[in-house]
Amino acid sequence: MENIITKLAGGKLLIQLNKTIYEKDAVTNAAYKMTDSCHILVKPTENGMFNVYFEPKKNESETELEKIAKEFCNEILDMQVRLDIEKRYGNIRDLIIQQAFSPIENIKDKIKI
Amino acid sequence: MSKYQLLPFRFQKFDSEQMLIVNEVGEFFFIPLKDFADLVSNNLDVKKSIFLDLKSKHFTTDTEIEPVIKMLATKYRTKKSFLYNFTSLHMVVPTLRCNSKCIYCQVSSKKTDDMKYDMNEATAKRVVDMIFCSPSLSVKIEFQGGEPLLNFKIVKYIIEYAEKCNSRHHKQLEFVICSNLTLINDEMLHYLKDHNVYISTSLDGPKFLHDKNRPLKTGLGNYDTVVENIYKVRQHLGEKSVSALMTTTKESLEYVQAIIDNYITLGFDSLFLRSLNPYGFAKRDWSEIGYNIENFINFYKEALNHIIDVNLRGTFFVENYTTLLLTRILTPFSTGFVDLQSPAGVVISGVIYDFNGNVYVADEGRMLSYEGDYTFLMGNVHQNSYNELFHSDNVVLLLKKSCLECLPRCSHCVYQSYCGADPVRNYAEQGDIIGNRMSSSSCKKNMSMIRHLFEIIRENQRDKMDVFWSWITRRPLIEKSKC
Amino acid sequence: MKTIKGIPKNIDESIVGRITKKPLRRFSRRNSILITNSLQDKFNKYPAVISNDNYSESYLKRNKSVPLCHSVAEIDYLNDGDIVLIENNGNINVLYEKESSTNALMLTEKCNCDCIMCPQERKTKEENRAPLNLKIISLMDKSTKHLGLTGGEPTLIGNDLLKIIKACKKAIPTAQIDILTNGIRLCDFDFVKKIVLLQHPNLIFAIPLYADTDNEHDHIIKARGFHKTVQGIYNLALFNQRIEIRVVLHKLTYQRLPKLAEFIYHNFPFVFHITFMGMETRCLAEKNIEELWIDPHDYMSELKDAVIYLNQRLMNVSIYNLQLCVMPEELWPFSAKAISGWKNIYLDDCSSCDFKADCGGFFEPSEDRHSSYLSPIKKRLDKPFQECY
Repeated sequence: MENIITKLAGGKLLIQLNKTIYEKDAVTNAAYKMTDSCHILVKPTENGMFNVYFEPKKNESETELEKIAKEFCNEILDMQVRLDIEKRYGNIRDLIIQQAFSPIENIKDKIKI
Repeated sequence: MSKYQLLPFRFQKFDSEQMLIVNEVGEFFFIPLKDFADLVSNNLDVKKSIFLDLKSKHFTTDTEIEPVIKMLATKYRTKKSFLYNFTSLHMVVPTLRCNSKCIYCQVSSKKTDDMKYDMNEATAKRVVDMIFCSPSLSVKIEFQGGEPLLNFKIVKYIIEYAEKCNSRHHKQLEFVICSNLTLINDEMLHYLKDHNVYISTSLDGPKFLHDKNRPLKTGLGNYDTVVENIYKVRQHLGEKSVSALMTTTKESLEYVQAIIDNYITLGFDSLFLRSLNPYGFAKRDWSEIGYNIENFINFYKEALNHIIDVNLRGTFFVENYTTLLLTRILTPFSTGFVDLQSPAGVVISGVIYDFNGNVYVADEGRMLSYEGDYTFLMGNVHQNSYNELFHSDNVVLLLKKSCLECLPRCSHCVYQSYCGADPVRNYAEQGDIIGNRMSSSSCKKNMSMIRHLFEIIRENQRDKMDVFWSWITRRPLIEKSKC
Repeated sequence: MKTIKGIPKNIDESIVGRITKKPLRRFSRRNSILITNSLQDKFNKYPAVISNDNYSESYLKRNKSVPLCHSVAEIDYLNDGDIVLIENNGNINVLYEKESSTNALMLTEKCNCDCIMCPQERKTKEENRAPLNLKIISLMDKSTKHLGLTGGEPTLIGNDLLKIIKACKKAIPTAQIDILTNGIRLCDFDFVKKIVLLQHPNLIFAIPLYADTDNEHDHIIKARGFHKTVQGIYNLALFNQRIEIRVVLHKLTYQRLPKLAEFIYHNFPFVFHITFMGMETRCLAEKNIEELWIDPHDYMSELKDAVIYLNQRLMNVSIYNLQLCVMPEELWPFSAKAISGWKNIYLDDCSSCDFKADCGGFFEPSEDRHSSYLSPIKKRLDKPFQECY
């Protein structure tokens, strides 16, 4: 795991993520889940990466913060899978809800997957 | 071209072997992790019986999509049918005066002689007029307090005026009085019988606990009076005419079985295990009477275990919150309970009219107003029309922000179909109606309870499931040796 | 349909009429067929006469052209108010029995499915049966409590089905009418609406569903029907019609019975009744017996799970056409007698069974395939469940 986490001055940690694999939504969603345990900052870089900075919230030790950062890595993967699956539903979820309250004519023509 | 089309569902790893997946209409399936990986990577063999299981529950289809969308839409409409009863629960506060001094009082009740906290006839009339503007075909008027029996005159006025209005509207009209049952007398009972009124009272457990939690303003206990009056109410209004709510304080946590057994001894066939809500005195004295939500969850699990045992030993006894959750998990139907809905049940399912005619989106909204926060005030029956109250921009905005489908975390939560948005609670706890799920105690509470129920459901023991279904259907288990 | 043999005289074409054992006045005889054992009287105006007597030459002298069916050995089968059709070969087909609760009218022999276990003969061409059926309905006893409309597929006759339902409403106003349909045509919302607008107070649509997924159901009915049937059920539900779902039990359906029960509960919780039916091994079922046969004993565990699942959820569920001795006792309360009286039989062994009276029994003929686990049951005092059942 050493190489995914970079240690910075002042007890901060940095994780770099490739934009071709992870979407912004996955990064922010995963970051949001960590907001209870530390401070997080997400910054896009010019070379196509996301820089994610972790800062202790209540005097967490370095190892604790590292644990949080690693959890974040799993979380973001989980999030990205969810987003990928979501995409495969296309507009089916919307069509179900629309059809439930005002029947749609020719649903077939409106399915986009 | 893929072999099959995935249909919308949410998922969460349940343990090291299985993934729990739940579709848009609350149908669920435990799937081995390996099969899940195959499913989402388009590698699941459509000939396998597990594929048929998933197809049958509309998680996926390898044939036509259009008819499946129609079936899901039909089920979705059934699940959300509570929306068609726009405001069915109307809570009315005839007075804020109360003769009790409960340690967790959430409404800062007033002294018994402080008559300025009584609702007057003019307000009562406007309230009833407003209630009958609601398009819902069924209307329940629930008298809250203070202690409603302290202003019985206005209770009677509202009942009679509502009955008169209903002779034109023909709604399904129901009355409930939430009372501590210390002041009820024969004359009141005769009246309540004539008008088919139900009683909801409060009972926190055995005498020592109840009297500690719910003393009178005089400082005396009221347990004996309450018990005597419960029997009296049953005698006059019928066996099923009185139900009771139980509030869990720090002290209660130690007495799980005693509380439940006490309910059974007193002849109740159900109870509602409620955790303490952080309003009023409960908020002020949280360090003495409050607890971590984890403590409550342990309390809940122990209680549920005991109640299931009681049922298996032949006594029909229902835990109502569990039954609500189970109905949402196991049946295709909608439940009318305000706290477990999306969009939130506030306004859609219930509103509350205070003694002075102020209308709030929920009882907790009124509680906040006593602390000086009027965020959830919709208006006043004297100053505003029905449309101004119920269709205001504020209400619409509140409801928009209370759809789980779009709330952070909730939108991906596997339990979304079973849970509800509670903007007032979020606001009270976190100062924001959207709230942060990671630090929300009600999120933690619901997630833990639902997960616990899923563990039991997954075990699928016939006798436990029989008990659960007897609760959902309200059909007592028949002892197998007799019939 | 029960058929009784006799010898025809004066019968050129089929005659339909209502049985009477009591001679009627001349002007009330128009639709009545008299049963008599003395062929000496005059029988003018009766459409036909039935007798167990031998034909006598003197009959023709007195009655010239009145049709007669004589030497009918099983004449006691017929009762006042029954409706029969006498063919020119002397066969008397009993179309309706006044005292039976399992009367049914065959509306058409055509069908838009080709179910692999179909117990009915099918024709692709037939005469319009509606006039005959309308006549039968008009002759039925007003107090009739129950009538099945069957086929083939009854909805295929379209507007004639509407006429039949209307006729039932008029002639037998208190009867419950079971329409045995595959529901495919009911996916046409306007057709359903027309039926509903007839405002018949007591219709039940009995619709078969053989699987919880489309391909598996369609494989059994040999047609693309699953989603149309589902839509048909929804259309009926929109009008609050009473729906019964019927599941035939055989080798291709038994494995997923519990899943099918789940599917029914979650998608059609509004149905009024769900029936699981033992298979009748006639016609196509007999032809495809190798693909279909499974001893009922071997599907009891799946059947039990499905029935208990539905009952737990307050769904009204029944088991038809199966025998108590192959069922676990827990299922006994769900077993109902449903085989039409004329073809409902019991085996010789059954006479020593204490529960014969409560048992669904068998289809005629007795060569119909049976479970190899049949055995008469004795009442046991140590089993209170049996006692109170």
